[in-house]
Amino acid sequence: MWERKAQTPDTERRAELLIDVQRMSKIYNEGRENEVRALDDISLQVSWGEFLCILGQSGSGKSTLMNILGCLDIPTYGSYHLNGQPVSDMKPSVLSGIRNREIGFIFQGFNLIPALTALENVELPLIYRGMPREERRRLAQEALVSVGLEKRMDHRPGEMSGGQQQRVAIARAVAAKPPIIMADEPTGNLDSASGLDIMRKLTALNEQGTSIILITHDNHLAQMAKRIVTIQDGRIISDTKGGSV
Amino acid sequence: MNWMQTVRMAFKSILNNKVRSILTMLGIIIGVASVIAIVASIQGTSKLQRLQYEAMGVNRIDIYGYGAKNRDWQEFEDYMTNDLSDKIAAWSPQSQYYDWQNSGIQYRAKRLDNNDSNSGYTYMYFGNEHYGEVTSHALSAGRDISAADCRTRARVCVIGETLRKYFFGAMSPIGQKLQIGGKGFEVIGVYAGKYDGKLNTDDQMIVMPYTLQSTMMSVYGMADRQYIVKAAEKDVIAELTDELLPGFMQGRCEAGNGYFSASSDSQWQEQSESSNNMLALLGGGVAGISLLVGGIGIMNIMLVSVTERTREIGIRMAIGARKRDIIGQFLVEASVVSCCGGVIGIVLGCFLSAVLGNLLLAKTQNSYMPTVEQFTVLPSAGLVIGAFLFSALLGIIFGLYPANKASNLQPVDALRTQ
Repeated sequence: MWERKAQTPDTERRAELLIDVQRMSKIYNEGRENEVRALDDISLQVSWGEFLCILGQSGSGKSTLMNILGCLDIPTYGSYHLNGQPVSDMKPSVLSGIRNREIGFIFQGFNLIPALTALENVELPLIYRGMPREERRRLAQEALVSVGLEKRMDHRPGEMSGGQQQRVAIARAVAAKPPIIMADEPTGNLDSASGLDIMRKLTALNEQGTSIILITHDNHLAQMAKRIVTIQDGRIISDTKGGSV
Repeated sequence: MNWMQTVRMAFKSILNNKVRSILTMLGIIIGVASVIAIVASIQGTSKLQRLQYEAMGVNRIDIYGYGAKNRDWQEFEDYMTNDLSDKIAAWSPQSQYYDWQNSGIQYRAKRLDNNDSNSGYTYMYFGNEHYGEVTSHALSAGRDISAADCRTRARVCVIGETLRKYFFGAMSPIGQKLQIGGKGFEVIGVYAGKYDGKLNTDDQMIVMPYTLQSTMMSVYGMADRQYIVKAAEKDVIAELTDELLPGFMQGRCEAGNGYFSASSDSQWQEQSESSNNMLALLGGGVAGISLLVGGIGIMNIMLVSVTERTREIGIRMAIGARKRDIIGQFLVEASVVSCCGGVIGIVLGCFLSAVLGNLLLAKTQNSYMPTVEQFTVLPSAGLVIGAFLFSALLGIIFGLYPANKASNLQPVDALRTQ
């Protein structure tokens, strides 16, 4: 019952667009007095290999957009296709599978499980994928080495600095080599040096072919992305090329 | 995710919260331990009683009679041997005496007197070649009385373990001459203490061929007729005692003030066994309630744990855990807690029943029964396995609600929790 077939990331099968959002709205408490239109009639297309930044002030709806793009939440209206799959009306268990296979998350608050070591945290998504022990251990170790934490594998999050924790989170996001990485204010809790380090890692990943979606309020940080989508009051107000770094 | 992985995760999370986990287990531990201790003690008492009954003879029927002619008894014996051979496995006369004239028993210079306050009475039995069989006595040395001994009125005897120790110590008793009531008897065999000496039954005994009864009458006096009958199986005991045996002797003992009785302890045995079973059920049920309370304790802590770990659940869901993965995780955690509690409770329960159970036994010793030494009460395998399975079941039942609650969290909401 708990078995899940081992699946390699299905990066071979590619739809034309990585993300295709059509006229999507997210409305809380619809029809009541306290109705909130967090996202209002948004359309957005993202191609493979893009480094997209969603820029917006607090309350602009960027986090809601990120949650929906990350399949953590579903839109009220409109359609959303991720790698050609219609996500808007999928069952929660199917969404879990998509999050597991297609997306690597990096959060502002790191979101590591405090009771587990760095290695175990990185292994976790692979466990839920049903990957055999040896293979997932190898992948997790590779990922931790790639973020320069080969000496910290047995440390728990509480025993590491913020920058190190965020690097563990990156390792967790990339271990299964998903086609897309979503980073929600990944540098928000870090000093500028650590933040820059994380951004360099994301840029490097993008150069290797991974699509990156970065959510931030920081205009300066956004300039590191290739494309900047600015969002305000639930609407996209601009869609420009970023300055390349 | 597979089962082994889930169980490993559960152990990890339990070890991360050692004190809390042990406190949670405590309810299950106490519940399981008390169920086992109570039920095992009662079952032990029951088993002990059965041993005591069996020590006196398996399927044993005691026959007493007075007032019939010798010819009638002869016909009675023929009836048992010829007509009831399919219902009766063996029979033996048993005339029981004790040395009321204090003529003493003597080996060389060593003498055993009945008025010696350190020793109890020595009983003399007159039986045939089946005496050992019908009274469940096993030889530890030598041989039993034979049919030939009875026919030739041989002056031989088989002695009990207590007398062997008293008179002969380390030396072999076989072939030695005992002076009994002033007459010489050759010791031909020794009856072992019963159940490896754990049941200290009446081992202070001497068995002689029944044909010598008249010879010894000058010493011990007359006695009523007695027989011990070993029924072929338990089921025919009632038929023998209520119909066949008294049916045959009816009328023959009635002349004057004669009487005949055939009785068996088997009904007693069944009654006391069934009342013990009732008691075990009752005691186990009461202790089972505390087990239930322990289960509720697990549910309580699991609910707290779900609330505390909402963020962790959110993270797990974000990186791909499905609803059933989360349910599995919390269910297995609850089961592991309750199973660990179950195992500790079983160990404690075995210890308690071995210690308390035996204290209880010592208090309830029946004075009409042979006394018992070194009898240890231990729970049966069925009881232990049952207790373990029940505690595992408790974990699953009381883990269901918290696990379901955890799995119904929305990933977005769970991640937002701090």
